[in-house]
Amino acid sequence: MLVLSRGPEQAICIGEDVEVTVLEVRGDCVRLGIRAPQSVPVHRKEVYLAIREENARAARADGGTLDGAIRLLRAEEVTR
Amino acid sequence: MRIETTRFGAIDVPGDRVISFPRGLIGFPQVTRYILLDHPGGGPFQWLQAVDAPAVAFVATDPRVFFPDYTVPVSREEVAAIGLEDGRDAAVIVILVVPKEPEGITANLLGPIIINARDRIAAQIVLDSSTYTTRHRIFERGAAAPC
Repeated sequence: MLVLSRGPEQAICIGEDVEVTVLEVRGDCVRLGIRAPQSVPVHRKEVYLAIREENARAARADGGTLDGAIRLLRAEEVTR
Repeated sequence: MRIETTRFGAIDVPGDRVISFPRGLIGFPQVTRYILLDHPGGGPFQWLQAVDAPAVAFVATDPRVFFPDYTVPVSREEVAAIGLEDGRDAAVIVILVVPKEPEGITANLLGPIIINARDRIAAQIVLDSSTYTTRHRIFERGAAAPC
Protein backbone atom coordinates (compact mmCIF):
# COMPACT_ATOMS: atom_id res chain seq x y z
CA MET A 1 0.00 0.00 0.00
CA LEU A 2 1.29 3.42 -0.91
CA VAL A 3 1.38 5.67 2.14
CA LEU A 4 1.44 9.47 1.81
CA SER A 5 1.19 12.24 4.39
CA ARG A 6 -1.20 15.06 3.49
CA GLY A 7 -2.44 18.01 5.45
CA PRO A 8 -5.59 20.12 5.19
CA GLU A 9 -6.26 21.39 1.66
CA GLN A 10 -3.60 19.12 0.23
CA ALA A 11 -4.64 16.58 -2.34
CA ILE A 12 -3.59 13.49 -4.20
CA CYS A 13 -4.30 12.63 -7.81
CA ILE A 14 -5.17 9.12 -8.89
CA GLY A 15 -4.67 8.78 -12.62
CA GLU A 16 -5.89 11.66 -14.77
CA ASP A 17 -9.41 11.93 -13.45
CA VAL A 18 -9.56 11.34 -9.72
CA GLU A 19 -8.57 13.85 -7.06
CA VAL A 20 -8.89 13.38 -3.31
CA THR A 21 -8.48 16.45 -1.11
CA VAL A 22 -8.16 16.59 2.66
CA LEU A 23 -10.67 19.26 3.64
CA GLU A 24 -10.47 19.14 7.41
CA VAL A 25 -8.89 17.14 10.20
CA ARG A 26 -10.78 17.19 13.45
CA GLY A 27 -9.84 14.77 16.23
CA ASP A 28 -9.89 11.27 14.80
CA CYS A 29 -12.05 12.25 11.82
CA VAL A 30 -10.82 13.36 8.42
CA ARG A 31 -13.13 15.07 5.92
CA LEU A 32 -12.25 14.26 2.33
CA GLY A 33 -13.41 15.84 -0.90
CA ILE A 34 -13.41 13.53 -3.89
CA ARG A 35 -13.55 14.63 -7.49
CA ALA A 36 -14.11 11.74 -9.89
CA PRO A 37 -15.89 11.12 -13.19
CA GLN A 38 -19.46 9.84 -13.08
CA SER A 39 -18.24 6.45 -14.25
CA VAL A 40 -16.26 6.01 -11.04
CA PRO A 41 -18.61 5.27 -8.14
CA VAL A 42 -17.33 6.44 -4.76
CA HIS A 43 -18.71 4.86 -1.59
CA ARG A 44 -17.98 4.54 2.09
CA LYS A 45 -16.38 1.12 2.19
CA GLU A 46 -18.41 -0.42 5.02
CA VAL A 47 -21.69 0.66 3.40
CA TYR A 48 -20.59 -0.63 0.02
CA LEU A 49 -19.62 -3.99 1.55
CA ALA A 50 -22.92 -4.26 3.44
CA ILE A 51 -24.92 -3.71 0.24
CA ARG A 52 -22.75 -6.13 -1.70
CA GLU A 53 -23.28 -8.79 0.96
CA GLU A 54 -27.03 -8.15 0.98
CA ASN A 55 -27.20 -8.44 -2.81
CA ALA A 56 -25.38 -11.77 -2.63
CA ARG A 57 -27.85 -13.06 -0.03
CA ALA A 58 -30.82 -11.77 -2.05
CA ALA A 59 -29.61 -13.46 -5.22
CA ARG A 60 -29.99 -16.85 -3.58
CA ALA A 61 -33.76 -16.47 -3.19
CA ASP A 62 -35.92 -19.24 -4.55
CA GLY A 63 -39.13 -17.37 -3.89
CA GLY A 64 -40.93 -20.30 -2.28
CA THR A 65 -41.52 -18.19 0.81
CA LEU A 66 -43.15 -15.37 -1.15
CA ASP A 67 -46.49 -17.11 -1.33
CA GLY A 68 -46.42 -17.38 2.46
CA ALA A 69 -45.68 -13.65 2.57
CA ILE A 70 -48.67 -12.93 0.35
CA ARG A 71 -50.89 -14.91 2.74
CA LEU A 72 -49.50 -12.87 5.64
CA LEU A 73 -50.30 -9.65 3.78
CA ARG A 74 -53.86 -10.75 3.10
CA ALA A 75 -54.28 -11.70 6.78
CA GLU A 76 -53.04 -8.23 7.79
CA GLU A 77 -55.54 -6.62 5.46
CA VAL A 78 -58.36 -8.61 7.03
CA THR A 79 -57.42 -7.63 10.60
CA ARG A 80 -57.06 -3.93 9.72
CA MET B 1 -37.10 -12.24 -27.11
CA ARG B 2 -36.69 -15.54 -25.30
CA ILE B 3 -34.65 -15.68 -22.11
CA GLU B 4 -33.54 -18.63 -20.05
CA THR B 5 -34.15 -18.53 -16.32
CA THR B 6 -33.36 -21.00 -13.58
CA ARG B 7 -36.54 -20.28 -11.65
CA PHE B 8 -39.13 -19.77 -14.39
CA GLY B 9 -37.73 -21.81 -17.28
CA ALA B 10 -37.59 -20.23 -20.73
CA ILE B 11 -39.82 -17.17 -20.97
CA ASP B 12 -40.73 -14.80 -23.76
CA VAL B 13 -40.53 -11.10 -23.01
CA PRO B 14 -40.81 -8.08 -25.30
CA GLY B 15 -37.34 -6.75 -26.08
CA ASP B 16 -38.38 -3.24 -25.09
CA ARG B 17 -38.97 -4.41 -21.50
CA VAL B 18 -35.25 -4.89 -20.88
CA ILE B 19 -33.82 -2.57 -18.23
CA SER B 20 -30.18 -1.70 -18.64
CA PHE B 21 -27.94 -1.36 -15.56
CA PRO B 22 -24.71 0.10 -17.00
CA ARG B 23 -22.85 -0.62 -13.75
CA GLY B 24 -24.74 -3.76 -12.85
CA LEU B 25 -25.81 -4.25 -9.25
CA ILE B 26 -23.23 -3.86 -6.51
CA GLY B 27 -21.25 -7.10 -6.48
CA PHE B 28 -22.69 -8.09 -9.88
CA PRO B 29 -20.94 -5.64 -12.22
CA GLN B 30 -20.97 -7.98 -15.22
CA VAL B 31 -24.72 -8.55 -15.20
CA THR B 32 -26.17 -5.47 -16.86
CA ARG B 33 -29.49 -6.43 -18.46
CA TYR B 34 -32.58 -7.32 -16.44
CA ILE B 35 -36.30 -7.60 -16.80
CA LEU B 36 -38.88 -6.96 -14.09
CA LEU B 37 -41.46 -9.73 -13.80
CA ASP B 38 -44.50 -9.73 -11.56
CA HIS B 39 -44.37 -12.58 -9.05
CA PRO B 40 -46.48 -15.40 -10.49
CA GLY B 41 -48.32 -15.78 -7.17
CA GLY B 42 -49.42 -12.15 -7.14
CA GLY B 43 -48.92 -9.67 -4.31
CA PRO B 44 -46.66 -6.61 -4.32
CA PHE B 45 -43.59 -8.63 -5.29
CA GLN B 46 -41.58 -8.61 -8.48
CA TRP B 47 -38.56 -10.46 -9.79
CA LEU B 48 -35.60 -8.62 -11.18
CA GLN B 49 -34.39 -11.36 -13.50
CA ALA B 50 -31.07 -11.15 -15.34
CA VAL B 51 -31.45 -11.54 -19.08
CA ASP B 52 -28.02 -13.06 -19.69
CA ALA B 53 -27.50 -15.02 -16.45
CA PRO B 54 -30.32 -17.53 -15.85
CA ALA B 55 -29.53 -18.05 -12.15
CA VAL B 56 -29.37 -14.37 -11.19
CA ALA B 57 -32.71 -13.06 -9.96
CA PHE B 58 -33.71 -10.83 -7.08
CA VAL B 59 -37.04 -10.38 -5.38
CA ALA B 60 -37.96 -6.70 -5.36
CA THR B 61 -40.85 -4.52 -4.31
CA ASP B 62 -42.15 -0.98 -4.42
CA PRO B 63 -40.90 0.29 -1.05
CA ARG B 64 -43.95 2.51 -0.55
CA VAL B 65 -46.09 -0.58 -0.02
CA PHE B 66 -44.29 -1.38 3.23
CA PHE B 67 -42.54 1.89 4.11
CA PRO B 68 -44.85 4.79 3.17
CA ASP B 69 -42.43 7.42 4.50
CA TYR B 70 -39.40 6.10 2.65
CA THR B 71 -37.73 8.66 0.42
CA VAL B 72 -34.66 8.41 -1.78
CA PRO B 73 -32.59 11.58 -2.10
CA VAL B 74 -30.77 11.23 -5.39
CA SER B 75 -27.66 13.21 -6.23
CA ARG B 76 -27.16 15.12 -9.45
CA GLU B 77 -24.46 12.63 -10.47
CA GLU B 78 -26.79 9.69 -10.03
CA VAL B 79 -29.54 11.40 -11.96
CA ALA B 80 -27.11 12.03 -14.79
CA ALA B 81 -25.79 8.47 -14.67
CA ILE B 82 -29.19 7.07 -15.67
CA GLY B 83 -30.10 9.95 -17.99
CA LEU B 84 -33.03 11.07 -15.88
CA GLU B 85 -34.39 14.43 -16.99
CA ASP B 86 -37.81 14.44 -15.37
CA GLY B 87 -38.41 13.17 -11.84
CA ARG B 88 -41.78 11.84 -12.98
CA ASP B 89 -39.92 9.21 -15.02
CA ALA B 90 -38.22 7.85 -11.90
CA ALA B 91 -39.29 4.60 -10.31
CA VAL B 92 -37.77 3.15 -7.15
CA ILE B 93 -37.65 -0.48 -6.12
CA VAL B 94 -35.84 -2.18 -3.26
CA ILE B 95 -34.37 -5.67 -3.11
CA LEU B 96 -35.68 -8.18 -0.60
CA VAL B 97 -33.95 -11.06 1.13
CA VAL B 98 -36.44 -13.89 1.40
CA PRO B 99 -35.58 -16.46 4.08
CA LYS B 100 -37.56 -19.63 4.82
CA GLU B 101 -39.97 -17.89 7.19
CA PRO B 102 -41.89 -15.09 5.44
CA GLU B 103 -41.96 -13.06 8.68
CA GLY B 104 -38.20 -12.68 8.30
CA ILE B 105 -38.26 -11.03 4.86
CA THR B 106 -36.08 -7.92 4.87
CA ALA B 107 -35.79 -5.00 2.49
CA ASN B 108 -32.53 -3.28 1.63
CA LEU B 109 -33.47 0.38 2.08
CA LEU B 110 -29.85 1.54 2.07
CA GLY B 111 -29.19 0.40 -1.51
CA PRO B 112 -32.35 1.11 -3.53
CA ILE B 113 -32.62 0.80 -7.28
CA ILE B 114 -33.67 3.86 -9.22
CA ILE B 115 -35.05 3.34 -12.70
CA ASN B 116 -35.38 5.84 -15.49
CA ALA B 117 -38.65 4.34 -16.68
CA ARG B 118 -38.70 6.32 -19.91
CA ASP B 119 -35.34 5.10 -21.21
CA ARG B 120 -35.23 1.91 -19.09
CA ILE B 121 -31.85 2.66 -17.58
CA ALA B 122 -31.28 1.92 -13.91
CA ALA B 123 -28.71 1.95 -11.13
CA GLN B 124 -28.41 0.73 -7.59
CA ILE B 125 -27.51 3.69 -5.44
CA VAL B 126 -25.92 3.91 -2.02
CA LEU B 127 -27.74 6.25 0.32
CA ASP B 128 -25.83 8.46 2.70
CA SER B 129 -28.18 7.69 5.55
CA SER B 130 -28.08 6.86 9.23
CA THR B 131 -31.82 6.12 9.16
CA TYR B 132 -31.83 3.20 6.79
CA THR B 133 -30.02 -0.14 6.81
CA THR B 134 -29.73 -3.08 4.46
CA ARG B 135 -32.20 -5.11 6.56
CA HIS B 136 -35.62 -3.72 7.41
CA ARG B 137 -38.27 -6.30 8.17
CA ILE B 138 -41.26 -5.73 5.94
CA PHE B 139 -43.69 -7.23 8.43
CA GLU B 140 -42.51 -5.15 11.40
CA ARG B 141 -42.57 -1.75 9.81
CA GLY B 142 -39.33 0.13 10.07
CA ALA B 143 -37.58 -2.22 12.45
CA ALA B 144 -34.13 -3.38 11.44
CA ALA B 145 -33.51 -7.09 11.66
CA PRO B 146 -30.62 -8.35 13.76
CA CYS B 147 -27.57 -9.25 11.72
